[in-house]
Amino acid sequence: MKELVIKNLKIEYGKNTIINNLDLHVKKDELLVILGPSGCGKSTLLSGVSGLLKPTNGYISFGERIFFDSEKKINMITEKREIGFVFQDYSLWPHMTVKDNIIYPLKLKKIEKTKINLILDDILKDIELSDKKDVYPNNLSGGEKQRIAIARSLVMNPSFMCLDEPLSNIDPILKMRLLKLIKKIQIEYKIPMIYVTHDQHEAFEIADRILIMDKGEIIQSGLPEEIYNEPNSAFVAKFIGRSNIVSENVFDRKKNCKRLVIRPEDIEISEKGKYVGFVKKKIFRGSFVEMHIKYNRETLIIHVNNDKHFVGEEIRFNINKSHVI
Amino acid sequence: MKNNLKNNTVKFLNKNSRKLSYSNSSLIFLFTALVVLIIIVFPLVYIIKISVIKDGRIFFDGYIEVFKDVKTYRALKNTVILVLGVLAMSVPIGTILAFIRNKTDYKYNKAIDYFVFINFCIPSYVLSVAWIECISRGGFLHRILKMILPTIKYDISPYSLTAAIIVLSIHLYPLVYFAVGSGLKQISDILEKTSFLLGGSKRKTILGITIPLVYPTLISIGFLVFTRTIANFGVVSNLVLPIGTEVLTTRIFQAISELNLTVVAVLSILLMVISLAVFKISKRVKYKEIENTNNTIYYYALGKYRIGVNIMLSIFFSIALFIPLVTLLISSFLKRWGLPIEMEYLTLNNYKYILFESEVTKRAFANSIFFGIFSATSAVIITLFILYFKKHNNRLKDKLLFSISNLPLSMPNIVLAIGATFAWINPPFKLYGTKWIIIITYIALFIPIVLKHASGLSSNISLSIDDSAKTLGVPLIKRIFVLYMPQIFSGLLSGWIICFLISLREIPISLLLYRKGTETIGVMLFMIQSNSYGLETTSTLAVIVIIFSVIGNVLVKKIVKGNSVNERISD
Repeated sequence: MKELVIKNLKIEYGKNTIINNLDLHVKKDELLVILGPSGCGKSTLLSGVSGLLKPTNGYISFGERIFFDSEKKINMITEKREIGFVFQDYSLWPHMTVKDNIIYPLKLKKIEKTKINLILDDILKDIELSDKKDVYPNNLSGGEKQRIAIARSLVMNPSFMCLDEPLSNIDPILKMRLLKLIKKIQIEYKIPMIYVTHDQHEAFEIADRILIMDKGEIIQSGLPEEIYNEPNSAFVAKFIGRSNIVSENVFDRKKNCKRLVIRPEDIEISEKGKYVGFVKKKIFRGSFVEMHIKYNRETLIIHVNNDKHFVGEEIRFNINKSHVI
Repeated sequence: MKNNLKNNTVKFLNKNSRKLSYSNSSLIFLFTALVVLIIIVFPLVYIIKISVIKDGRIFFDGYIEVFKDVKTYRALKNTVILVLGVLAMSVPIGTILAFIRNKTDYKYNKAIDYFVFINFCIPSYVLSVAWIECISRGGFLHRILKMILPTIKYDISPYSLTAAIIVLSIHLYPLVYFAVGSGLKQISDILEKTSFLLGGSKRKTILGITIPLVYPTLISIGFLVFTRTIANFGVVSNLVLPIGTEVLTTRIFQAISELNLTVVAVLSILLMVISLAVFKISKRVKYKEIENTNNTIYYYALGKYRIGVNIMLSIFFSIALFIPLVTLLISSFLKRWGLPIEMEYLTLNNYKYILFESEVTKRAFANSIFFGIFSATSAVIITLFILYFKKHNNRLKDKLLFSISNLPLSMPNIVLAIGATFAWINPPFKLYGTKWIIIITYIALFIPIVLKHASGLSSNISLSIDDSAKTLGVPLIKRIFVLYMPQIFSGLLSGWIICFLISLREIPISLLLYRKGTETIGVMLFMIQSNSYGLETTSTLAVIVIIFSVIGNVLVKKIVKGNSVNERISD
């Protein structure tokens, strides 16, 4: 089965280790989202996989094809790896029209002209930009540019695709449209994809699986709901959604207690609530109100739908769900 | 306390409000506009007038005579050959060097920068002198060949259109190098990496992505090389005129010596129209701007080509830089050009003669320095006013003044000189034969150069600075000199140095306008060789000019903080 396999990958810049002994499998037809803060090594990982950077150590293969093997001294050049790569900055060539940008890889493969035109028309239809064929990139919007960049990667029939924060420069409304388009393309073209982002909303929108990275290492990998509901560390809990991370003994007087992750929506205000605190602060967030409740030594964040409580008021609450980390 | 402050403020405003009158601004504008009209427009109008008016009547005989004359077409044809030849040589040389310097992992890339920079500092006329000293019979090439093959028959002439093409290409390729280099630095690495990811090899990426991305730069610098070549006088007069071949600039010079003023005027207009047309076309060509958003550059690994590149660069810089420099240097220490290079024939007397003994050269140095300082300073002041009005008022008349002031940029120096001759030869403004005609023409030449250096800085200044000064009651003169000038000072200063350097090497203007007593270094460079001084004295003067030029350009580089200096510094 064709899948991307990364073993023991190490990438260094001078004396700094950016990726540290990383193991990763990306299954056929899977859209893996790598989520992590800036500088965590997620873009470097993509550069290593695509051959733009030479890893220090490790093994990378896709199906039968070995891209990199430090032991056997194999390092396939980038142009032979056939990886579709979409950059944050679009990387459209400004001196070429949309058409010339898209057909560039087809011309390199010396595909005949009539076939090139057919492929071009199909892909432009798929990305809904048939009318922009002869336009230069500087006359396109950010969203249009990124669709062209995706189309250009797709026409070369890549083994798999790497998308490096492709929608960072796109406004939120258009971003949702493009995320749907990327997901649709991934399903229709049946291409495994690695999508790198620091935006958890993008990750939840399209990911089959999410991988959380920090300081060059994988912190957690799993289905989106697993990552959200069962974070394995304070880092993941803080990075994904809002959470209260408190010591167990805040609620129960235990010794050697563990830390708990409690999502704000899992704390319920109830007249018969087990715990008593008072409202320290209120923030209107549009669809809900965020309340900061002082309880013992901790401040807990609670999301409620109504705005009937006031600052200083004593309230009772229950904790419906918590996760030990 | 509040009342005190109020009273003082009122006093301050009343005191300064008299100086804030509208007429003050109008007076300065009027003065600037008058100067520009007199030194730029007036000579231009005179050239046109002489080309079409004779004995008070309009006539086009001059145009008919010029366009009927076979010599005109011959000169035009030679000019076209010269321009195409220089473009075909200088553009690839500059581009390849810029590519190696900026886009490869070549180890000695800083050395390329230094060598090209020194090449850039050598005036074109001086290069042509070095060429003659190298190639002519009795030249260094002949002597070396004779040492190797004593019976060799040497019949290479240093004079030909090809020689002018080679010398001008060596002189102008640094412009291409600087421009293409900064273009290549604008290419974000992801544009090339994307090509690799899509299956493009290095060769295909270089030819399909990297080089085409600098096509806009190549086109615009091509236009600049075109205008510089067509306007050149020093090299063609030294290498082409001696064999009777003419290009447009030498044709004008010949017509002057025949005192055929109408033909001179018509040919000047022809030369100016061609230059202006090319200049305007270059401004109109719409380029798709590239912008390096992530500030990283992709460097191609030279790999097995490293040795080849080393050999190629060594050969090139030997021919373009070291041989001319060494030739000039050796000649400058020879008692007489042509003597064997042995200790007994070496002397310091040439330097002693030029710097301390010869009254003419001493006077030429003093004149060039005075003309340079006076003209460059005047140009800076006029430019300051032009830019201030353009920036802060931006009325139609301000824009017009700005455009007119830029006109000399597209006019060959020889045309400026001819315009000045026509305009200032008769009363009431009889300046011909005095130093003032050279100074005025230098100012006209320098204004657009200073404008080019300072206008970028001016456009970055916030208008609110001047507005806030107005509300505080700061008078116009203070706003210009105390608030505005310091903000564009580095541009004005680098422009000033460039102009000063030009005055130390400029040939066509001073050659046409000088009289006994107003000789310049440029005139001496040209005339020393023409008289019986011999090439060793020309070489000595050339070495001194090169040293001045290198020092000046280093200063400019320091002032503009590493920006390439590719302004109009050549004749």
